[in-house]
Amino acid sequence: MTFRTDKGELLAGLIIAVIGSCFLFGAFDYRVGTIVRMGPGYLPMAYGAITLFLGLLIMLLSLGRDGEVPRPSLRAALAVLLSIASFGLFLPRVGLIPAILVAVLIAMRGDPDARLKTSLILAGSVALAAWLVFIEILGLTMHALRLPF
Amino acid sequence: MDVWNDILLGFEVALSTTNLMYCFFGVFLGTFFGVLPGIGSLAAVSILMPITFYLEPTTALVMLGGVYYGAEYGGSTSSILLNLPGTPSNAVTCIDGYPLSQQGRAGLALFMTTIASFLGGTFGILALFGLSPIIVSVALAFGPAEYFAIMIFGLIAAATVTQDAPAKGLAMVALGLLLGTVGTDINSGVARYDLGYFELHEGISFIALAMGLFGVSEIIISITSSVHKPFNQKVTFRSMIPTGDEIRRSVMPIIRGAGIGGLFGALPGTGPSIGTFVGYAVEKRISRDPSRFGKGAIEGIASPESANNAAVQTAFIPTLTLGIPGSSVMAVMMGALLIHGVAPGPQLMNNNPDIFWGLAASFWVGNVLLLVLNLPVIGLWVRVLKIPYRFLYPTVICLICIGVYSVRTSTFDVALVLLFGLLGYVLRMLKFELAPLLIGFILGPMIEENLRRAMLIYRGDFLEIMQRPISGSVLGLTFLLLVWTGWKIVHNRRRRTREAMDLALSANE
Repeated sequence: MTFRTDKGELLAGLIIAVIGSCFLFGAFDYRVGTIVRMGPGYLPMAYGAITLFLGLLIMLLSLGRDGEVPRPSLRAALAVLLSIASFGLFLPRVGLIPAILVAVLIAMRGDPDARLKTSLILAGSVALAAWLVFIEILGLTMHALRLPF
Repeated sequence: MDVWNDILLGFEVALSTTNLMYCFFGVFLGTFFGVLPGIGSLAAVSILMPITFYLEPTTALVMLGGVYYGAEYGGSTSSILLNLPGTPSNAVTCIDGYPLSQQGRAGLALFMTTIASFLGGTFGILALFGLSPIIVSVALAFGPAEYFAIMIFGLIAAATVTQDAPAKGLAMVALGLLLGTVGTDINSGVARYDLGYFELHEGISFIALAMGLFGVSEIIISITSSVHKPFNQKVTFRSMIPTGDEIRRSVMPIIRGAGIGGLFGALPGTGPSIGTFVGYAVEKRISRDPSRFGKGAIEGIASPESANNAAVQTAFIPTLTLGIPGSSVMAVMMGALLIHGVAPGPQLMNNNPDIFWGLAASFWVGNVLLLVLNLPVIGLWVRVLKIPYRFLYPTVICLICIGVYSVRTSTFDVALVLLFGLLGYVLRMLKFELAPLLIGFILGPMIEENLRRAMLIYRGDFLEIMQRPISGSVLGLTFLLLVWTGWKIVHNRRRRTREAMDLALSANE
């Protein structure tokens, strides 16, 4: 007998169940206690158990249906996430302006039609505008530009 | 009457120069973000929240409120002109709004939206003014058992009412509850799930969670799906004026929409989305000629838009009077209030009447600003829609990063945004609705506190909670809701199986 399942739903339920069980087993590191004298682990255990149950429920409901695992758009996701990562890395070390330049340039890679010249212009304008608004006008505590030595 | 004094006080606060200015900013920025397809009111409020940290609490909330209803309005502009809802609750506006713009009557649609939104919002604000004192006086008799019951109801309602897949909605709430437990437990001082990072000792940064889950994931999805059909019409003033017949046909829908939206907005857990759907459905059912709907019936815009703004305003009622967020955006607002050290709840009206009434009054001021701002400035928004998305999203990414970093001058938070952005994207790819997660995250610690207190008072007798009149009936409602949800799941499966069988049978003939 072949199992018909909605694979996307199955995966969804699996992820939820896994997260739930991680929290559930982690909760036992803390004292659970009783309902009258709840320890720090009581509600995390309860929530973790509920999450695990719901994850299994979703997996169960996926049986008997059809469906595929949705395909993510890797290019966009990588561009955005790497852009944020680079911002976080560059900002404390080299300052706001280089961080923005790098972040914008990386982010624009996510759009297949983006061209280098437009990217550079946009990066420059955003960096300039951000410097004006956030550091000069609003006075946030971050370096605009510094040497990492 | 005492309330009049408070209302006057409120307007005094709301009309102060600073608050007026920031209200304007909020409305303007909110509309701008709302117009952008892909960024909804939730993402807009999350992204602009860090900017409000340097402001007074009232001013911060005034601005965020402006962002909220501004974004809801801007979202309808995108729905009408591009058939792309700017926010989830604007999806209904597409149905009759887009055909209207295709018939060359975009100006009319936009005008009616503005008017309907204003009137609906005014109704919601009147409800806020009128009902809040009553609710507060009742709420002072609420104990932890009542709060616990209402919060649970809000969670279940948020998870199940607007969802196609209630199990997934509940899973999101549960996940939010779990994420809410991360941090130091107040009662025992134990740091839960901190993985050795001291930055997690105060819990997951709410901003990082909200911006990552909603802002970042929204951006990733929008990059790939931005279908930009250029909008070519010119929208003139004259085209905006409705005919007498259209005015006449819109009056009752606006009134009905306001009532429906106001009701759903005030219930904890449900918000503008369901209000607009129900408003549209009611109009269609009541109408003498239902076939007009979907082809540009003016009632199809007037009612949902009025419901939308009414719900947006009444959602503040449970948030401000009880401290229970009425929707995920309200959860963000509450987060903002808490960060400023203002605890929403029944005491807010008594201890800080200037904050409460100032805020309420500012909503009306904001709605007026919305009206005044948007009628002449429609052309600007139309032009915004012509900017290619590739210029906008890197800017928004930088805004998010700067915003999150500036809260605690912490790159750890930026890393959190990254992590939750990834999680948010994965979850949305797997067709989870993220909004219930935020409600679970905010309500989790409050539920724990109230449950603990209730258990102490009633010495572990859970049945006590069910026997007290208010909490018992609320829990009963919740149980009915769960039963209905269970039935819905079973019903959906049966329907799907039947459809599949019908398909198979007809293929065999």
